[in-house]
Amino acid sequence: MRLLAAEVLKLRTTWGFWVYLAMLLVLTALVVVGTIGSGVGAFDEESWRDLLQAPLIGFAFPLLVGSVVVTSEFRHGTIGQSLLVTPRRPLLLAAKLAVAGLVGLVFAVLSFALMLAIALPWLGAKDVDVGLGDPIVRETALVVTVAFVLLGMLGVGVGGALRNQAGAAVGLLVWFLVAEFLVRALLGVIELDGVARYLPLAAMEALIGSDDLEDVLSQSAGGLVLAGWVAVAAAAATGSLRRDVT
Amino acid sequence: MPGEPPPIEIRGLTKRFRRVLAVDDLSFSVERGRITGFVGPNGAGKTTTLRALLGLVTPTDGEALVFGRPYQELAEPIRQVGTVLETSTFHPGRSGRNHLRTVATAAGIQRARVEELLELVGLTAAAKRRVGGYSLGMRQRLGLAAALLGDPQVLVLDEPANGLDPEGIRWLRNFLRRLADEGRTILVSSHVLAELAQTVDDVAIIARGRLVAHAPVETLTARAGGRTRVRSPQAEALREALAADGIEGAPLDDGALAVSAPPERVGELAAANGIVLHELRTESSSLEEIFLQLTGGDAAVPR
Repeated sequence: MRLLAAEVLKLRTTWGFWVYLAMLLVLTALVVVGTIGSGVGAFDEESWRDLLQAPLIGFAFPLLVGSVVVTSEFRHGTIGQSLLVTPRRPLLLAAKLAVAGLVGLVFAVLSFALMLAIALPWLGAKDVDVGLGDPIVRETALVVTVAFVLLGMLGVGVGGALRNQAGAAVGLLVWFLVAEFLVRALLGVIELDGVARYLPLAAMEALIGSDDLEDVLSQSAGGLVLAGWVAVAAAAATGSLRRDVT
Repeated sequence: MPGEPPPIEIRGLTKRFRRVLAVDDLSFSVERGRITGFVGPNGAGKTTTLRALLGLVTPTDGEALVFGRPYQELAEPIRQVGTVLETSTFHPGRSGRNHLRTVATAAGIQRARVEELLELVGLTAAAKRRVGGYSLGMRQRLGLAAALLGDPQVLVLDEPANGLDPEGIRWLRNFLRRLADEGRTILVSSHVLAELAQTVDDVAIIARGRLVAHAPVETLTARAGGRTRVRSPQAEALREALAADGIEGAPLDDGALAVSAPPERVGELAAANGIVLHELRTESSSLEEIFLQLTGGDAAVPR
């Protein structure tokens, strides 16, 4: 418990965490404003869904915070101090996974709340009939939260495996924004389309109920596959963290 | 208590990094309540040895134990061993106070203790400032504060004098002496023996990963031959008096003599011959000389 408290304190006392949170909130607000403000036609079911999923625009931030939770320690050498207090490395990793999950939860709650705080009064003023009672609100909130929690933990795993701050951040962004699409295309060429849906981003898209990809997994299966990637990354991090700290 | 394990024990420690043998079958132990200087040229394997002792580096062979156990197996490590690592262990954006708080929180140590230590190392006024803006001396003091958070009986300090100005070094010496007087065991490394000579009780000298000497300071000084520096307005008469007793005196640049006999003997001879002395003391550089002699004055080489 005190390890977790220490990890939270480490995050709170560095500016990186606050910058990422601020960027997530700004992006979310922009999407909300864009979705409602540009609505020329009627505000339909789909606009409502887009609106509720606005926080997902910032899905990279829990990933990045998660990776920084580990890589910042290597970058600044604080890992030495942390291991002196907590010499059992898997225990330290577990605390970092937990705190990154917590960050995902906080990020999801805050961005979702911000979205509602802007959207509900605005839509009300436009006489659009939406309400918190709609089951899709609860469903989307749950899905966004699960996605952010898993992404935060995935960031820790990748950060721990690579140890390098820039390397982990760039690696994560490149994979989620570019590389996975290339890999999917490649899999298509060699007729292994079935494998593509198990890739991390595809799993996340399945989890949030996106229909961009053909042949997607169910939402729960997407969540499980993404959790599987977290487990793989955490295992890689456990191995990497066993190495000497010099 | 008989049979109680020493606070620090290095047994046959060997560490190989790819092609470099950093530590080579090193063994020594540190006695309770003493300050031991762990001295050697840069690259001699000091940091690697200390990191193995602290569980940060896995030995290729042998072991490094704290109270007879590997560091990782200590129940409350920072309440037993306080450490200052050579490399920076601070996030530059975090304030000094918050740095100590992160350590204290993880170890379950009260916040009041953080304030106590800030006061002790004289950082209270700078506690709110980011560590990135601290001078080297302030960082070393913050490191010492972190090491002392758990009020440990053993301190392991890797090059704590590095980059300190003379005043900082004097502060550090007094600080270490005070900690030792409280009964703590201290292992402190340095690549400059002179920095430590006045502070430590024992010296362990390492060169190329191997132990070349481990003895109380006085023993090492004695081994250095007890070179004495003596200055007299009657230098010629003094030389003759010494020579008559079979003692050689070599003239130094400033007119003083370097004599290979203890100061007591030189003083007695001068008195017996009615020779005025203006200066008479043991050469303090002798320790440094034996250090260079023992270590060959060079660092580890890949082999």
